[in-house]
Amino acid sequence: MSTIAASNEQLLQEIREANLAYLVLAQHMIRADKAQALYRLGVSEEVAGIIDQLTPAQLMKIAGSNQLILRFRFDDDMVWNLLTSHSKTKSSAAGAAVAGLHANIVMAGQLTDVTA
Amino acid sequence: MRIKSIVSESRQIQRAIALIKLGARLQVLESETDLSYERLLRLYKEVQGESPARGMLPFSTDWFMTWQPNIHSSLFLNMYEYLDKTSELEEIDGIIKAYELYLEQIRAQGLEPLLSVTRAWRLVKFVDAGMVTLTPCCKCGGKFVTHTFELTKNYVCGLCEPPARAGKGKAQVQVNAQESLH
Repeated sequence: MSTIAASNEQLLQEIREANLAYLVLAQHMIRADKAQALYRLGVSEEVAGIIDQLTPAQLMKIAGSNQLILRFRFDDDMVWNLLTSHSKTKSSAAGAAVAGLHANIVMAGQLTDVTA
Repeated sequence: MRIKSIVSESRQIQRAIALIKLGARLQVLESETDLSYERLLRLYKEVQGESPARGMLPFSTDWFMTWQPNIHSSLFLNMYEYLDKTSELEEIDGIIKAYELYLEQIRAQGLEPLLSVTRAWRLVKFVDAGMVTLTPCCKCGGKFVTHTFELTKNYVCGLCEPPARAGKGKAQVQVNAQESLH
């Protein structure tokens, strides 16, 4: 029993750390350049405004959850396949780079749809 | 036009410096700031340490439609449209920020940027003029740069169906050369 509790505690700790790292990074990006941060984070201007205003105590409080506060920004196999380079082009390095660009274009386009 | 506000002038100089650092041609600076030609020329020499390139700007939309340039242009324009929709930016600031994101992304993939900031600026102007637009590919859903009045119902992008000779030109040689260096 105790080992389960211990590993669970470890898991929660890691979730808190990931949450906190994400929030701190997001806040840093928003303060450095808000427009570019919106693109990188894929969040709306309102959410970015809220994250920007959070105090360190609030950050800690939000991070201390049993859920991750960030999730995948794409949920279709199109983007997944492109990112994992299921590319038809045979030449490896060039093919992978092109598939990466393809994924970027598809993702950037989807983001525009979401926030429009 | 004379600039009255010093704050506004300073903002314009900052903008001009950002553009020069990204490699913009003098025509872009002349069009996007109210600074005089002489001041821009001095600023250019100060920032780049050399005189700006002479000659006309590329004016054709066709470059954006060829295979590799189309991929690069589409990536940039998607980024630009995203920034344009989510933030209230002046057009030129949007172009600068989107171009910076484009450079980052291209370098992260280990590629050479094909799209210059001058061409990126031209591209946005072509979109403003209604000459080119973004069209969704019916296979991947990604949006790509096309001429505005093309038949786009069953448009398939150059990445879903690359042309027969795609990637067999000079750029391919470049990629291979880089590989052999490592």
